[in-house]
Amino acid sequence: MNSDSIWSNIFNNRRGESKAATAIRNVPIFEQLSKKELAAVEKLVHTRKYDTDETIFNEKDPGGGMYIVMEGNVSIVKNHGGTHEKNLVTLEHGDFFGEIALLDESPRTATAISLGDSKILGFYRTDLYELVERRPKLAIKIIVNLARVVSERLRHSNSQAQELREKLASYDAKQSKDESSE
Amino acid sequence: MIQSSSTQHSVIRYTTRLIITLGIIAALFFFLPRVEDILILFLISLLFYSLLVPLVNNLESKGIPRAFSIIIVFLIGFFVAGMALQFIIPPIINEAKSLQETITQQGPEKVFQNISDFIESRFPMFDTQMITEKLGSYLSSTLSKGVDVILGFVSAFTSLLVILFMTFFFLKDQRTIKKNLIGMVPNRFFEMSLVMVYRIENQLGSYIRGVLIDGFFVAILSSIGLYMIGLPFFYFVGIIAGLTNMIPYMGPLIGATVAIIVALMSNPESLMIIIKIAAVFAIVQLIDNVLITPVVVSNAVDLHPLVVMLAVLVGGSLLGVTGLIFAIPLTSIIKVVVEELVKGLKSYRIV
Repeated sequence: MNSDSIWSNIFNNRRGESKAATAIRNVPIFEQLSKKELAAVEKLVHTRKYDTDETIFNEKDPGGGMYIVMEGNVSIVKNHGGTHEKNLVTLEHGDFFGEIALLDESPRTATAISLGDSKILGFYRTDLYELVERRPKLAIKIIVNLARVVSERLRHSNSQAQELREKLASYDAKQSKDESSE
Repeated sequence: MIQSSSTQHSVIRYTTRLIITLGIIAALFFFLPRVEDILILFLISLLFYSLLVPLVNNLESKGIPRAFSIIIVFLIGFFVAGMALQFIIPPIINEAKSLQETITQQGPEKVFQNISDFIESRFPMFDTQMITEKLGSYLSSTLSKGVDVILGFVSAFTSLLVILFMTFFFLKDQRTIKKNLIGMVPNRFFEMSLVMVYRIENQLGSYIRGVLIDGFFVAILSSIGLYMIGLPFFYFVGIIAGLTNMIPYMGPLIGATVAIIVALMSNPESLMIIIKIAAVFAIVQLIDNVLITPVVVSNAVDLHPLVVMLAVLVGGSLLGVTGLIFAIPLTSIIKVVVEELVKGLKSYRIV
């Protein structure tokens, strides 16, 4: 499927890396790691295979770690009470999710489901703790990158919240204008 | 169509895993009684692993490759063991041999005879004859067995090599071993298993290290105290005090009883030494409870006194002296595993 040299990303494996190493390197949390450090992370991550519609994690389960999609697609679903579920996003090769669970055990905010057969890399909080103990320099690099990713998401959420607030304010203003004109 | 084939695939995968797991369990039940000695070496290696892993991790965190870190820790261990062999072990072997001879020649039966004569002369209503015989012969065999075990351990050079080899590979490849074992867990329980294994390993590691360090200090302090009051075989009794210290509440009493028996075997006339032994054990316990235990032993595995008593009784009746010593550490391990298992299953809403 990826053998077409025009369309497929042939540059991904230019360094003679394994598929897993390439997938890890392309995740912002593992940016700027040396080849050796990348190999150390690769040794730590767990490769898991999921079947169609198999749940990777459930909403409200305690968070254990983050995942990187290697093959297949993953749907992130939010339950809005009862059986009403909303697909928030569909993730594909190279995408990552669940990274907040690297920081604490707070409950997952959505459910992750495998769409079709998929191969996923898992990097867990316990792996990060082990790195902190055994290779603190590498752990610090990962934690700084993680902080960057989380703050980026926070900034994005803040700007979305700001947009919503502005929309709400203009809607309120329009409503009160309509009411006064009536 | 695709979905049903993948479900079928998943069923086949889990059934295969289940069959393999059941096969391994059946094989374990079949082979375990035949490989008891190897199992003991395996458990001792795990104890060493648990004791040494923080040191190895610490060296590795300074940038030294793991294999070199392990070699450095081993070299330090060899140096300490060499010093111990030079200065401590020969007197222990002599004492153990001499104690074994004393037991064979004189036997605790005679000591108990002295004590029972003493009791009978004051309280004639007690039929001490039967108790003396039973207790005496039991203690005689147990003490001889204990001495044999210690002598056996000291001379078992091959076992030591096997332990060193296994400890080295546990320390070097623990991550790969753990990763491969956890990798067999089905997806549904995978995250939960990782978190639980991490917690159990942490709690048990700190508990085992704590108990071993605590026992080491108690053995040294007891030996010093018993030496000061002039008890023969003070090294040997000190080691027993360190080992039995793993048993809360009853451990010091057992240690003191062994010391009293040893004292009475060497000098049946002097009852003053009993008071001195009691004083030494009381002081050691005070130092242990106030200074050592709060610093080195984790509170996470506190057991109710009733559980301690039952565990010791069951351990003692199943495996004798070995059971007495290992009953509490084993009960603590079971307690941590069960607690974490229940906590994990509840937080993942499986139970």
